[in-house]
Amino acid sequence: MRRVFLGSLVTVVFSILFLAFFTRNANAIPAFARKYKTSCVLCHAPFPRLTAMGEAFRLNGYKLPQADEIYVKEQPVSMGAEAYKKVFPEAIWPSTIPGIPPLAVRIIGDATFHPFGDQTNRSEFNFPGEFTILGAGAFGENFAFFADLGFEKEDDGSYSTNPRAWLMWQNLFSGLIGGHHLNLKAGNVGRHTIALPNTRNENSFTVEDYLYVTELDLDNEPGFQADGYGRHWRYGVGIVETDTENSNKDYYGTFSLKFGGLGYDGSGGKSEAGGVGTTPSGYWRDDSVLFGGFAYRSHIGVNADPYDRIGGDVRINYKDLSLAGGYIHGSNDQSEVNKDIWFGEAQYFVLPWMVPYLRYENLSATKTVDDGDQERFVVGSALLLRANIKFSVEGEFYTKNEPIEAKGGDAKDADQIFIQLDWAF
Amino acid sequence: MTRSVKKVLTFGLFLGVTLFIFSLSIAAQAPQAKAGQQGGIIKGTVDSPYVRLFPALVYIDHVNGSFPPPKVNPHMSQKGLVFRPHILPVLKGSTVDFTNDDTVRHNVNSPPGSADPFNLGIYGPGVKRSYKFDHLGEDPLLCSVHPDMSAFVIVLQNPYYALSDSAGAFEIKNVPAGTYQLKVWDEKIKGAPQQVTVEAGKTTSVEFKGLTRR
Repeated sequence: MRRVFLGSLVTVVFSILFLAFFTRNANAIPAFARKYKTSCVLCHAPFPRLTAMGEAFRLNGYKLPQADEIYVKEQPVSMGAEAYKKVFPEAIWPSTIPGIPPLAVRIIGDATFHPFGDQTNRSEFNFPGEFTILGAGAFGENFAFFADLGFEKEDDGSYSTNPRAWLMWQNLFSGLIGGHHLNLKAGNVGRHTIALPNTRNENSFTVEDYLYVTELDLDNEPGFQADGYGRHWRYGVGIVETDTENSNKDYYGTFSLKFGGLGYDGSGGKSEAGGVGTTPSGYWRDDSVLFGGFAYRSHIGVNADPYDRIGGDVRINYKDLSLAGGYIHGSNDQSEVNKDIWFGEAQYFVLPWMVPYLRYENLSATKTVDDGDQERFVVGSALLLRANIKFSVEGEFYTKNEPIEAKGGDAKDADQIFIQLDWAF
Repeated sequence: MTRSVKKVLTFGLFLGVTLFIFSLSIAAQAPQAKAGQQGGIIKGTVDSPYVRLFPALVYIDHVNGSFPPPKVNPHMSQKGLVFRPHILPVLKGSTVDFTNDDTVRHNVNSPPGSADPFNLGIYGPGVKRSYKFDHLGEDPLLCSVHPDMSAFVIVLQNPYYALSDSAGAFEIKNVPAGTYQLKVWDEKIKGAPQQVTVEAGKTTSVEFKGLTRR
């Protein structure tokens, strides 16, 4: 019996250490499906894009808004009885940890085809292209955590790792300023935040990243973040480190406003009358309009090239259609490269499991060598074979690609077609 | 008339009224007792490992007579992202009250192909919406907001039914004497109906075997 206990303890400790030290960024977290005995689609439509409820769940520190405990099916382990709150500071403030380690696995694999250009290899099989172990959850009412370890296949066939983790202390000074208005996060912050709020890469279900993310070096970084939200608004400000060679830091701020639909705090939401012969709305529907803004100042930044990023976006959700657009300006002080990127996209739920999309992206750069103008269309469809298995077909077609054209190539040389499988459990 | 005669007459009147009321109550109870004595029991098992997790509903397909729906509406709750109860047998014509006892929005609908396709719309916490089930058969219940939620309303012609326990055992009491088609319903398995003959005051044993996956 003791051996079994020690074995279990070692497994749990190892798992925690594994997650703490070898984690990477990822999105859909099936551990919550187990915790609440519910489907992925409560929070994702299609994964990893968050539904309005999924966004409220995320903002609330991976707890369902308003009365999380009544929905939990896997009861947490107590780290102290509630009554110890009354004797604080003569006791450790009580908390909980998940009843079972909240671990999940996500695997992405694809076949990529290059229909044009002079590549000797016109097709590549990347299985798995990404393999991620992740965990997230809550420690009682006011702490939340996230950790993941990803292995990503590189061009030479090797796998790189990129561990990420953060811890969040929620509802600070809630007695004075209200609940959810101030949270502090430490770790790899900026996920969902160092980007345009309503057209962020973390919330996209397309195969190809947004052009602005790859062209403007936007990713989460180690640091600290303060954020908060109400029904119609949310904000985040942070300080992060992108260069370990000196003490200069980067700063960013973001905000978003939402009108209609389910609030960021999980309140509200549209009611429907129903009736004979009617069909209820799908889980993804959230008729709403969202506006967002974002600014980032890097004091040293990548390649010792200080830069600024500033932009705004809008998303309109109406019935089965979601329309979005964004603009972001990036300026790099030393290289004097300025980039202006704007884009528009449309996503439509033809069926609960079939979501075609179209995106147009346009990049204007002040220099034409290596950083020239680009213009492309991304078209495809996500097909949910199951709630946790996604099959995607996507084409990425350039109508202008000056970095390639400057080297004597053709814009179409960079065109790609993807067939991707993405599953999580 | 003397006082003693008045007393005798008053006592006689009181006695007569008391006896009359007593005889009426006896008369009212008599048919019920008679019916109870005439009823039999159907007892048996549903032989399938599925019933451990998915209880089977065993019911008589048709019994002569009319069986009005209850005056108090049957109730189904949505609580903790779960329909409670999971299986709700009701008499034809019953109005079921659906309550949202969660803190999130819910929907209740029964898809096309159900005995009674309907959609109660999407509504917030604390709201009650009702629906009258007028057609015999199975109505799977869904929530469009939470696709994992599931329950069943089974609309029956008569009140002679029972849900099996985790061992598959069931018992239907007070069944009027006669010969009937006994059916079994389960969300995972299906089986052929059986003919049973019920005799007053006796127990008829039935076993459903050879059930297959739906």
